[in-house]
Amino acid sequence: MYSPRYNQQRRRVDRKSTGNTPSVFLRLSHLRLLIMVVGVVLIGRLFHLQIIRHNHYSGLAKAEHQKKFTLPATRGSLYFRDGENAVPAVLNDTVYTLYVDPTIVTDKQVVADLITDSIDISRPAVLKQLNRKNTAYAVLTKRLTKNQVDKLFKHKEKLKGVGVTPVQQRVYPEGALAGQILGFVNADGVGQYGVEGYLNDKLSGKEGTLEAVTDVHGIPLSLDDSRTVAVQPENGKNYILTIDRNVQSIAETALRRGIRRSQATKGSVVVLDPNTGAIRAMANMPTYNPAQYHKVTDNAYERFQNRVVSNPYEPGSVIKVLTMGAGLDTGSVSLNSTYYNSGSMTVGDAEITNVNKTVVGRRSMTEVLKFSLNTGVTHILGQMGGGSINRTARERLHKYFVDRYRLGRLTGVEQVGESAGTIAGTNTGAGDNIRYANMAFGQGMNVTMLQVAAGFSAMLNGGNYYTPFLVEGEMSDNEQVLSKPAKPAKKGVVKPSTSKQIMLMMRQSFEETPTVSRVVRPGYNVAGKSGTSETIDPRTGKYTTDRVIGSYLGYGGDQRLKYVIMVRIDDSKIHAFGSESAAPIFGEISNQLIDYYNVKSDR
Amino acid sequence: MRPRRQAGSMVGSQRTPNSQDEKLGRRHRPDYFLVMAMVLLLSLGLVVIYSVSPAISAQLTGDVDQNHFMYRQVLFLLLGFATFIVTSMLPLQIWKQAARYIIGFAILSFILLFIPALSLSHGGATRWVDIGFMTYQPAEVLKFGLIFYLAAKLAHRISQGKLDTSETIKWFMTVLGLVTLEIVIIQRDLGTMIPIVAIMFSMLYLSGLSWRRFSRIMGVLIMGAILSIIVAPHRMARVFTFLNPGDDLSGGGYHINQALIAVGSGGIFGNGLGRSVQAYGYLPEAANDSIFAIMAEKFGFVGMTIVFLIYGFLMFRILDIVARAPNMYLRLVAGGVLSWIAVQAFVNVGAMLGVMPLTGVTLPLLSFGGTSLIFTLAAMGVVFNISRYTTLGYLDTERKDAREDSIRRRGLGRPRYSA
Repeated sequence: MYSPRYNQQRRRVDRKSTGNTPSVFLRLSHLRLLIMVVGVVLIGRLFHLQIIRHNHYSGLAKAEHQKKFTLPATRGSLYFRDGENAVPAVLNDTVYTLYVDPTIVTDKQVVADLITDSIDISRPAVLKQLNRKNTAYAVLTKRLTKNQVDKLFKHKEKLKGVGVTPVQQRVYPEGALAGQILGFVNADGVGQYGVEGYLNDKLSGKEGTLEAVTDVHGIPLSLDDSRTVAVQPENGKNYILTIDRNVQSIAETALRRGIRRSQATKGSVVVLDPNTGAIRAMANMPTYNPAQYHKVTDNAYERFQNRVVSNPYEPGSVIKVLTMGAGLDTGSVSLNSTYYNSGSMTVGDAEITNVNKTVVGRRSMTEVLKFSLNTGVTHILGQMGGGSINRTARERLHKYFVDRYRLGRLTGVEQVGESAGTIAGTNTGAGDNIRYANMAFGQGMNVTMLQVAAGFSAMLNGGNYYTPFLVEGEMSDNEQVLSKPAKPAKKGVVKPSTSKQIMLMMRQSFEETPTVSRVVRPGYNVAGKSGTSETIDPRTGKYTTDRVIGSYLGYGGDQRLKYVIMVRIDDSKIHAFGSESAAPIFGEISNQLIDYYNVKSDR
Repeated sequence: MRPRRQAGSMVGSQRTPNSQDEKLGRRHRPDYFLVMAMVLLLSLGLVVIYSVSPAISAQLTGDVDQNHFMYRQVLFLLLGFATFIVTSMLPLQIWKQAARYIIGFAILSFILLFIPALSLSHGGATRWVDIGFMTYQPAEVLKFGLIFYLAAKLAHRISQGKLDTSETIKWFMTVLGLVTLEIVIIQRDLGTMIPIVAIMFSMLYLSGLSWRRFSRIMGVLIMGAILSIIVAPHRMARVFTFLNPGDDLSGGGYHINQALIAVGSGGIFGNGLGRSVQAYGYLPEAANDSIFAIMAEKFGFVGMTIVFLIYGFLMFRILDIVARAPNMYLRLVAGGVLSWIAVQAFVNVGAMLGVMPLTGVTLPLLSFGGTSLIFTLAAMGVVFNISRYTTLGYLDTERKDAREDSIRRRGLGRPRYSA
């Protein structure tokens, strides 16, 4: 029960005990005031931070939370032809880099046991990485497959601090086949050389981006969609190449064998479909395996080059057939024309001679090809000028070589590093009569094998120049070919009758030269022309016979032309002529292509 | 209701020191508003802890677990409520005797801290005793015991009329010295010392010690505080960090800067309950020491003002109980509890708002559990019990006398509070 006396009593006690000290309630109100003041100060500060400085701190928060990620696009695949079908040439594969964070791993022995149990890696190597200090990322091994990773991480709970990083890698189901044509993708994911380099932008597609709010470790949070901005990646396009894996394989094998046979340092081959310009095979030796491009150390730059398109050279006598074509087509000479071969001919202050000194007297045009007579093609050049080598002759030959056969011009083939070569103009100082006389038999000009093969095709196929190409078309993801039809880049290169005549001449001269023709299966419309060119010694700057390039340019088919092959062999130690080094390679390829393309015998 | 003595019979026994306890007024309805405010804050804390659980568990364990902190917090809450009910039922006079055992237990616990197997360090300070199934902070035990010990001693001296003597000062300084020796010098934990000092000084202040003596002790305290900061380089560094928080964003200033970003980015209405990004590893101790900043990020200025109001309501409610306590001893007990809660709240919030250095003090009733929660609830239980015995008006003032009759007539069954 409440008693006033109790209070009076207490008051007395208080007074007695506290004496003249201030009232307890004054002190309580101090306390109340203190709480209120602190509260107001804190609310004021809260107001300052959350309302006045809100934008400042929101900016800081955004800068800290918002992170930008790259969404990688899948690189497009490349396909070869296998007859009418497509077969994968370059695909993508995800491989894994295995790493450890030595700061997290607790039981090193257990981790080392588990890793060495499922992956082929030495225990000391694992322990060495596990014992590293001052790093949170020590790479154990690279290029693990998904299966290997799955097997290892069966014991996930015991592998704290061990992780894998997925890495996109190009894989080559056909191995090193056509490696130089394909090119490779470097560690930064950029295509280098070949088709990979040429079509890099289209193959790599477009990276996407993701801007998202993340946790402190950079892992995106799904909590706020308004702050998440995503641009989906555009995957790269797939392409099917004109390269037929079978033809490519035949060509590479023959080239490799031929180089060994001739003890040569280098060699190249190209196989064209003369009716479309499609490149069915293209190879250089030595080559490399694109899957192991990083292991190429010696002359890497040269090895990565596709010399068929990037290395113009003096092709030599193979050009005679093109000069002959021009002579026939302009009507300067005919199938039955003859000329008198004295063994030499003077043009300006230079003397043109033949390699074969014995064949003199009146000779037919077919014999010009058969004996590879320099004076013969010089005579044709003179006929094109109405009897003497003059400006008209030069302009006519230039027109055929450059405008019609398109020598010395970029073909636009889908390869990195194509070179145009050089053909002297008719009005330049260098383009004088001597130069053009030399050009008639393939000297004094620099052209690529692809240019020669393409021009040769145009001369043989009835006069349609088809730009040589490597990319047949785009391919959808379900391997549906969106093929592009072949169109002649230029019609009327030569008259159809010229094609027929030159083929007859070539076949006759070919068959009458058994040292060469014995390499091909008899009874087929197959013929070719060899060439031998001396190279300029880089030390002396003069032509030398020490380093000779042997070439061979030929065709095969029946009623319809089936293939054009050009072969080049560099620096053979035992064969001085293209007819010895390059011709057998042509023969070997041609014989197999007869079967492959079902070429009918005309016997 | 337990038997009580008639008010009239108290007169004769007032000279015995313990007699005040028995002279409680009539037991009446306790202050349920106090419990309401308390439950409100605890529930809010639970909701916030639940909402940051996935974020924190993802950082700690790598797996997102909505209930990572939840189960433990619920367990602590159940334990805390049980403790609250027990302390609110226990007769108030037993605390006088219990104080020495509680302090004894605290001292024993401090000794246990020296045994490495039983001690647990976190954030540079060894504050926890690990006894297998649970951990606790001896300092929390000490705070709890100290309140009853100081209240009893001060009330005793008041009743003897010896409060304002140098003897009281000597005794007080001895206690302060011993606590400082243990907490600051041996444990090197200045942060824990702040609420203890605040409790001791506010109780001393409330006891009615003369200004002269009180200000002298305050002077000693301030000198000591400055000295303790100067001699320890890490404390100096902390003060410099506090003065220039932008200087060292990744080192010492990291925590405070992240707290400011959390608070500042909250804005007027906050980002929403489940939308705290700072909890995802940016702001350390998101569920414990930093829960205020996380709440500010979630609820914004409006939400936090409401939280402030609930806190203010709770504090003024206790302040009222202090004012109306039936005797000096219980008034000092309630006052001690009030200063405990108020100072911890202010020090914690002040640190999160960048107006005070970081000291590692939890936010009472809101921070994730542990012993701090249980002892806070135990103390609240005692205060709740005291609220059963509050007198009608303010004890001792002339003001009250003037209104005595009218107040009395309005019934005795329940407490009345002036606004």
